[in-house]
Amino acid sequence: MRTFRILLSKELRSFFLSPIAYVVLALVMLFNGVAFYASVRILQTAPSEGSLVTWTFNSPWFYLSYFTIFPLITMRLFSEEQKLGTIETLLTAPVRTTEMIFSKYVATVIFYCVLWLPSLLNFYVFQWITRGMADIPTGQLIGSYTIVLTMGLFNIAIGCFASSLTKNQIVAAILSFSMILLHFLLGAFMLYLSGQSNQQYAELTSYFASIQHIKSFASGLIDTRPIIYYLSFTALVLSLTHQVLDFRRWKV
Amino acid sequence: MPELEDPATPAKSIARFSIGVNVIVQVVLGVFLFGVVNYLSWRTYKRWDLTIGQSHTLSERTIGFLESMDKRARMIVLFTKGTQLTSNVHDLVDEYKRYAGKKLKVEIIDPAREPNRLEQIKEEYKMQFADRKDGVLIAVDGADDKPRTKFVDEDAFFTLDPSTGRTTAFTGESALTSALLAVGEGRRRVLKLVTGKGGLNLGGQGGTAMDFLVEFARKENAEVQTIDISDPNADFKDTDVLVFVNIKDDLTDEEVRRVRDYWETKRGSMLVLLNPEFPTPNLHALLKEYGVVVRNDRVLEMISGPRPLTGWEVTSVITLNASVTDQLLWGRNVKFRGKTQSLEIDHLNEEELRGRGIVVEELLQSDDRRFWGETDYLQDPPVYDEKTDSRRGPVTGVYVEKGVMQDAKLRVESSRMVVLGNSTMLDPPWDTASYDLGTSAINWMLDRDELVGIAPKQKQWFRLEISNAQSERIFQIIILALPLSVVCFGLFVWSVRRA
Repeated sequence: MRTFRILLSKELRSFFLSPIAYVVLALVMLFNGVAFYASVRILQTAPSEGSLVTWTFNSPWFYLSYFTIFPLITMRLFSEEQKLGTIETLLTAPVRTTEMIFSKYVATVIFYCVLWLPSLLNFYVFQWITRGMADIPTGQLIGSYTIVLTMGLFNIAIGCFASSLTKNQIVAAILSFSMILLHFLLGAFMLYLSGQSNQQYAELTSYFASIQHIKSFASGLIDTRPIIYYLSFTALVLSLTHQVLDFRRWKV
Repeated sequence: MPELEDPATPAKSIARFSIGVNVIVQVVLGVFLFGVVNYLSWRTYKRWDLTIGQSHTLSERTIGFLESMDKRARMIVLFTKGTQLTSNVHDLVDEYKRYAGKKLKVEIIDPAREPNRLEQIKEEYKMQFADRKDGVLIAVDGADDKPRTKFVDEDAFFTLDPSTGRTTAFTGESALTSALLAVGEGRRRVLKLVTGKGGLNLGGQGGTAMDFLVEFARKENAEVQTIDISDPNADFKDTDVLVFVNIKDDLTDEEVRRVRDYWETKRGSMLVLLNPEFPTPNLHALLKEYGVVVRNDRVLEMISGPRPLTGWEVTSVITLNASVTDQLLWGRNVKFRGKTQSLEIDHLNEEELRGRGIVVEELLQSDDRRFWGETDYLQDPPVYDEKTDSRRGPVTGVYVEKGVMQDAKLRVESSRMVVLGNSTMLDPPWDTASYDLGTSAINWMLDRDELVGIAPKQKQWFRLEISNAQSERIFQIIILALPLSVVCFGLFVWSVRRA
């Protein structure tokens, strides 16, 4: 545990002492800010069944920030170590592969949470400026941030895995972006196809269609099925990352 | 001196094959475990409904009904995909399936994309669906293995505000539960509206409680028929609820006898919406027999100060513990827009009523600080008189049950009645509480206790009315100031590290 803590603080330092982290944070804040402001404008124009929260989390700007974040924050995790040759030092040091993976993973998750905190602040700024004129549905807010966190855990795991496969950060970023996008589009495409197939298939596709999960959680409906799906997938992908890194120990 | 290890000793070879096999086994096991966990999660899951108005949660009544359903049912959802209503219906049906388990088989068909399957369904159930209408087909196994069916069309799933054309509530739950119940019951329930007594323009364009009855019948699998009680051959058979709306002409002795006979001997139910404008002493006398005293007064509001009395509107509160409705409605306000008579429970004859198995309870009571029953309601301005006027906070609605049993299963033999001080509470446009109370009251009289308290899911419409200055400030802070401050902080961190 001590090793884990040391590695975690090292990873966190490398995140927060790098100016790139702040550029990413500013970029995400900008995207989320635009998503939020666009939702305010929509609700100013005409009454809608969707609340400020629903509109914000279903905005194209939200998806833009969502797809950009993961490659940016995970691409350097293992690729950089491999490129600099420090991975050999790490692998031969009295550090378990699991500790190494988890420290990097948890540090990224913490950074990811920090990236999303300002978007929560947007709602409070709005309340403050409008003097609480519009209600922000708490249930929808809880649902939205729950799914953002849960899907984040899964996508960060994919980013870790992609980064462990190559020493080139750009390749790692493209790989993770492609995998995340593929998972998302596959779900959306199958959801579309489910309209032309039987109920069983429709249920199955909605089980892993991320777009459906975001919509449902953003409306305030929290379901254990997507949560279990993302968490178990995260565990599976992290175990694959473990195998990839361990492979260096015994490969020819 | 100890012997040093020979540096030339070759390193122990790595068993790559066995490690490789081990890795493959681990990966396969991981994937298997992932599959098992997700299969179990798919089968057994939990949901927390934090939506506004708990729009994804079934009422306890529906859950109880589904869990106790003893017949196998099939629900074929025929809604064109891509609309909010369809999504709401799919979510709803999902919940029905979750609680009914294997007793309910659900099939979702998009009529636009699956015309062949639609044709098969039509053929299978020998049904003709209304053109271009979405809906849900419900089939329940009948006694002779022939399924009984009912098509609930899309209109039953929502209510619209006619002035804006917007959906005001999602009524899918009550539509589906009542349809399931009705198909199980085997026949449509009949509300018979008393005609020939004036006071109700049947051919009129809306605006009366008649519209409510029609709306109720459409959504709750019932039908509205008329009955002329002056006709000696008037058929009370199959009358589930006898409805008096706003009658002007009083009942004759013979009519009173027929109504009494219907109510007392045939497990009758009556909804009486009084008309304070016209005296109906025989009807009042009949009601008194069952413990309901109709007072010759008007409910008025106490207004202090120079403001003149301008209207007759009465706000009443649904009393706590009223078994006519569910606790969701207890304490909510309903409005009577016209002149309203106050009612009173005949406490003097309480013993005698109890001896006859009659229980009378208050259903609606107006605020005792604001309203009183004025007997001399033509005086200007009206003033509360303790001696002649009815007490402050008059009762505007009561319900009566005869033959009430402690055991709910035996209660099917009881006669039920709801009396309201005027009929305007059910005039359109209905506010939510009035609509829900009317629906609950009729379902209570139909002995459909399962449906009492299935409230429509109110739709909330959001609109922001903020000034341009506020909008600009939001833009400046959220899109400019906050991200820029983070960039500045990042530059500061960078410069510190460089230094």
